[in-house]
Amino acid sequence: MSDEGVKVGVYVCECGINISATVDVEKVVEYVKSLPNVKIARHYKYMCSDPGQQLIKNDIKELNIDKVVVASCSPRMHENTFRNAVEEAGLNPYCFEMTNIREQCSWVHKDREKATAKAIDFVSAAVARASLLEPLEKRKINVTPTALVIGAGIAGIQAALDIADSGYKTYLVERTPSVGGRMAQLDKTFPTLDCSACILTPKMVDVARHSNIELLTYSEVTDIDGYVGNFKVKVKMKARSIDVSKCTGCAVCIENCPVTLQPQIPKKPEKAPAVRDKGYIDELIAKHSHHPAPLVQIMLDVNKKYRYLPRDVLEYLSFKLDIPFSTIYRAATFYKAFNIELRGKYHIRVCMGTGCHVRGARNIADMVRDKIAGAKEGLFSLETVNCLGTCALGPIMIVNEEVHGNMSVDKVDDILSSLGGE
Amino acid sequence: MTKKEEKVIEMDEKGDFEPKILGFLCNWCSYAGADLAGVSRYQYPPNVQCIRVMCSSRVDPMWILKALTDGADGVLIAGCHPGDCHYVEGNYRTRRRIAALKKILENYGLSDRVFLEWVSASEGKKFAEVITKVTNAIKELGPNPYKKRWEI
Repeated sequence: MSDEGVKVGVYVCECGINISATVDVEKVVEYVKSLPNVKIARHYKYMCSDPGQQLIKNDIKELNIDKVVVASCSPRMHENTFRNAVEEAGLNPYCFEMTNIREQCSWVHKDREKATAKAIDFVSAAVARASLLEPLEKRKINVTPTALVIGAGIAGIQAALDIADSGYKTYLVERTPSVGGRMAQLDKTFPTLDCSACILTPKMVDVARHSNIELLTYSEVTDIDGYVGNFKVKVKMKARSIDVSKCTGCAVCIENCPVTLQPQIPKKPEKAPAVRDKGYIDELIAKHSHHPAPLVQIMLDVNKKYRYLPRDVLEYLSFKLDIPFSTIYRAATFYKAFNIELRGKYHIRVCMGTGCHVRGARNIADMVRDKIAGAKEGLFSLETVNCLGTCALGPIMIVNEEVHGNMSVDKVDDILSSLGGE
Repeated sequence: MTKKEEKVIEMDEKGDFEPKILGFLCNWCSYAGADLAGVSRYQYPPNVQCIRVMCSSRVDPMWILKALTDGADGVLIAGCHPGDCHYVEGNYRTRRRIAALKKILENYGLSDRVFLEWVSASEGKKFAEVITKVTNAIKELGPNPYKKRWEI
């Protein structure tokens, strides 16, 4: 980029009196003439009028100016007007620079001297920029009328179908071997309890059969490059070890597959693992042995005695009752009645639901934590819960089974202190 | 512009400090907001020289540094409100860049001279208020200390 030998024409608009009332246009023109590269500087009543535009066209032809600066209203108003005028005179329309001395100068200032100084600065800057302008060409770029949808859940399927129905080629990429996603795992849809599969499966079939959709299952997008209309996407198709075009879904290959994968199940220990209070646990097992499912009953008693379910007891029960440990653990963590960590003598539950939260439940929970830290170990324990169903009394705190409503930090202090907290 | 001329503009008759502030306005929101201020005839100080950019994220932090080292007393960057960017997330980039730049400028005592504002196309009044606020803040701070050092 070089601005040598550039011939700039500068045109300062008076806009009737809109500009000339506050900006001394003659002074601006006088100053601009002294700037480098400026071949001609003029002012005129209305630059946007036909005679005004003709002024520019004549100068382009007669004086060979190759860059045009117009100082007038906002480019949002007349930039295109002047670009067209410049183009009609045979100059590249982008060799035109417009600067705004009306909306952003004469209309917002009253001091004539300062406004003129500001207008001079604006025009000087525009001249400097105009000298560096290069002709630009408008280009047309072809776009590929194709869409890519990533993820063939119900949303992806529907999107692909809509695009394909509009007549565009659509690629639908799905990571797993089958389309359908989460909705295929559901029985009913919320809130109308419609049959999930009845909505989904016809669409799954449509998406596979649609002539405009190319379905890429068991594939992942690894790279996206390019821009709107011309994206280049790399899709990694994972190995299926079958010929997709020949597969009829007969499943004979599954029977003949040479690879067998089986879950690794830990072996049952040969003798009973060590356990606390062995006599007591054995008694419990004997007591409930008539029960068809003794596990939960035994665990209830264990939980009552120790205030939690110690791991060694669970392992011992697993051995004695011949139930896999994972099953016992699942039951122990599923029911709210059990806890697998030691609880305090006073178990405190603080509601963190929205109703309680806005009334300061967090402060209550923080205060309880402070009290626990200062109290004897094993006296208190804290659990935050999502809703206790008593929102009108929020914030709520429950100590063992006793409900305390409208809690405040001071009340927490009083209650816990009376129970023996420091 | 020569130094002498610069001084003429800087000092008005009463000898008060008249700062030179550079403004970068985004084409879609803030420039339109500035136009609206004009159409509504909201008056504001003439100290801000505005440059139209297509997006506030077009403003290279180096330009801000160049303006400050070339003697601008302050720099204002104005763009669309968060979430309203014509290019979806340009102004988020601006916000991060300006935050980082201000951190660096703290070491040179210049961070108070850089302003980032959100002005929408319908906020002509806010534009006038922003310009007034920025001009007053710079007047309070006084001339760019780095410019003074070079003039000696």
